Amino acid sequence: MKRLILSLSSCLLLAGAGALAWSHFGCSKAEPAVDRNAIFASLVSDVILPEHADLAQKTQDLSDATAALCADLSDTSLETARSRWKDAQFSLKKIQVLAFGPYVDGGFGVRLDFWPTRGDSIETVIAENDDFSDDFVDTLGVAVVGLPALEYLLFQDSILDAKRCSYAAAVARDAAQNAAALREAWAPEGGNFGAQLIQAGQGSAVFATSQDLLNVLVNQMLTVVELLKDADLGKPLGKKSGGVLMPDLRQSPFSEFSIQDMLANMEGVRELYLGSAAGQGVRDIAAAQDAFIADRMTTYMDDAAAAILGIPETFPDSLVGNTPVVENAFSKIAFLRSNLAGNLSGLLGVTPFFNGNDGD
Amino acid sequence: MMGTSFKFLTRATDNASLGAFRVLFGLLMFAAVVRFAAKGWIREFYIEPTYFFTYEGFSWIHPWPVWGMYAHFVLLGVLALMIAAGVYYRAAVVLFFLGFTYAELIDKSTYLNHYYLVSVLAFLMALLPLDERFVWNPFRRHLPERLAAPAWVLYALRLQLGLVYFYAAVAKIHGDWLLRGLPLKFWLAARADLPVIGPWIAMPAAALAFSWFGFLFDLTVPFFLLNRKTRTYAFAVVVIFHAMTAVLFRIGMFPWIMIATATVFLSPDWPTKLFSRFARRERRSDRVESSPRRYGWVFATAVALHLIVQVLLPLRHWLYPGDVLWGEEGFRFSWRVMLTEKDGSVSYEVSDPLSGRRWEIDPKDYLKSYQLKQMSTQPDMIRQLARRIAEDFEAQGYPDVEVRANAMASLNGREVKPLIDPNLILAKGDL
Repeated sequence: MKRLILSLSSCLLLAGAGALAWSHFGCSKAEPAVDRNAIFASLVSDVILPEHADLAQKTQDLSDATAALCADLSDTSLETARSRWKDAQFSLKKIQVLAFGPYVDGGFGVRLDFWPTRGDSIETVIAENDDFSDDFVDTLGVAVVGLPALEYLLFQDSILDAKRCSYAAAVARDAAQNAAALREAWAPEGGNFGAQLIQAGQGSAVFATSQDLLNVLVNQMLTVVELLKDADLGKPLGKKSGGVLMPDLRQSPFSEFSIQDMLANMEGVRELYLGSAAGQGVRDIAAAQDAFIADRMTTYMDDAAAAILGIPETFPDSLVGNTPVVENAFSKIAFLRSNLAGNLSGLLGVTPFFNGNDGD
Repeated sequence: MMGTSFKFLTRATDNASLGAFRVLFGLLMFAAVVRFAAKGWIREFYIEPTYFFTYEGFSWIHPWPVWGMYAHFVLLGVLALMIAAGVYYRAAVVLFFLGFTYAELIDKSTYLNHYYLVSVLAFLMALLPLDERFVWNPFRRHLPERLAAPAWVLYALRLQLGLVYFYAAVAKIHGDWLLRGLPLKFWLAARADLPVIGPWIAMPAAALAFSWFGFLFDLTVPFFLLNRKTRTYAFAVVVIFHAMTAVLFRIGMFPWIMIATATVFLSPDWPTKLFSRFARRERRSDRVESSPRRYGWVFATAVALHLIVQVLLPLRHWLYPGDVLWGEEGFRFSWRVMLTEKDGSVSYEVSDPLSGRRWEIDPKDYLKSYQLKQMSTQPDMIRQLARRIAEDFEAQGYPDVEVRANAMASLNGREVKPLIDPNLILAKGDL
């Protein structure tokens, strides 16, 4: 009996040692272990802070351009203001993947990007008031401010009216102030929320573990991709309406900027995943588990972005006249979403959706 | 031979550990019920959802109204305390089994192996005389207590728990677990922040070492617990192992249930030895030792049948084609614990052949997030919801719609692939 137990134990130990050797030399596709906090620090310094600074700058430029438009109600000034709006909008859509922390807690996100636009409410504000001071705009609800409201105002010819322009300028100032406050909330010299990410699992008051932060980052990517699929592409494609095309449900309908909106979203997701050119991102954490799968994610992101880029302007024209191209973009985004939810989440031990129950 | 076995199984054995088992089980269940309520799970799991994944044959089970669900869990808590105290034990444990199992049968999404274990143990306990020691019944005085029970009572519990460990080990005989250290590799890397051990457990070699240790532990620990010479050391390993899993993974009451129930492997008189002063007092009282029980053979037969089912049930996956970890046919009720990191996503395509119209349905419209997570990797649940979607379309005037699912999933970090053929009609009209 003792011999049998001894033999069995020896076999099991040998098998274990063999498995260890095989996993080490035979099947490992993983890159070396990574310092997660160094990656978070890289994301904060190389991606998050610059992107927020960019948004603050672009919204300030927009505010200046809108003020200039009001001083000179000309087509040239209007074109400049519209161009600045597009720059700011692209920047805002890029940071949509960072919709956590101050973006949510400070209420900046909803103040800057409430959508869909409520034109009736905006018209009521303009009709019922004459003075659009900063204090007055502060009291207004989110449905009548932010970049979507500005799009509604700037991309209609009726903007060449002193009173409407005055309101647009006030809304642009409000957007610039909020974007600046959002940047401040992240900046080391301000609220320093970036430090919460850098110190995740090492004393951060927000992210008790690095895994908590990773959960947030991956779920943010997932959320943006899901919105692209369901809201930005799915609804106009009629996925919720029995196949009846619904071009009116597109984003940024006044500026016909919806394709750029989607590209900006994808760029934001890609930056969070890859980090800056010189830095690191979520991909590096995933690659420590499986470099092949980690790089496949990049390919799928590129494929999705290319498919969106392949939609000819304008979006509603393509939707109606070139539906297969839009369907192709939808498929690529859906595939990316499946891979983020299935593969990346699994690789990183992330729970794609909140689940309070105990697992076993 | 038969006679020897019969004598072996019916010989009088100290029933102190059986009494302690009952007390520990009751107290743990009380703690579990309080914890469940405190975490808000009564509302989250039974009141807020609008759709429940019922088990085949149990679709008639529905949650009570709001007040009823709360009352149900209050009652479960009271019953758990009654089990611990031994107050009207048989009635209490039968009602606890029914009440706990009812709650578990409401929704497949909340299935957990340790919830199933609770139901199985409660059922077994209802057949066993565990209320003969350590009883505190303020309603009945001068209880005639027995010092001993037939040995089969103890062996039945040991076999039940041994099966849990054994089948948990058998389930780990899989390339992912033994050769790749999956899914522990992912889960341990996620705990790299833990002080001192964090950086060590995040190493891939650590995942493999943990996998092998887990496999060998499950495979051997019941035998080491049964052996008198190794019993004490084995129990210490049980405590350390399960405490470690409690630290590393979010598995709720499972480790504590396993530690508490493993006491049944200890010497039958361990409680009296441990509390020797208490034991001396007890021996002075007036009790009957191991006297014959009414209908003892009926209970013994029922226990034997139960254990046969428990031996066979985890093997049923062999009746189905494919990898049980992927298709999950025969996955539940078979002690496949912590074997998969499986994530997926599902969307439904509804098409109406008559009008040519197509809809994409997001399961989020029907499900809570925890239900969505469970459903997205379990084909039977995906099909169940497809039927519900077809019913809803029928109610909206589309009686012939075809429902297909685009279900993509990844098992243990592999590339995402379709879990179900996207062209397969999962529900059509009244099918």
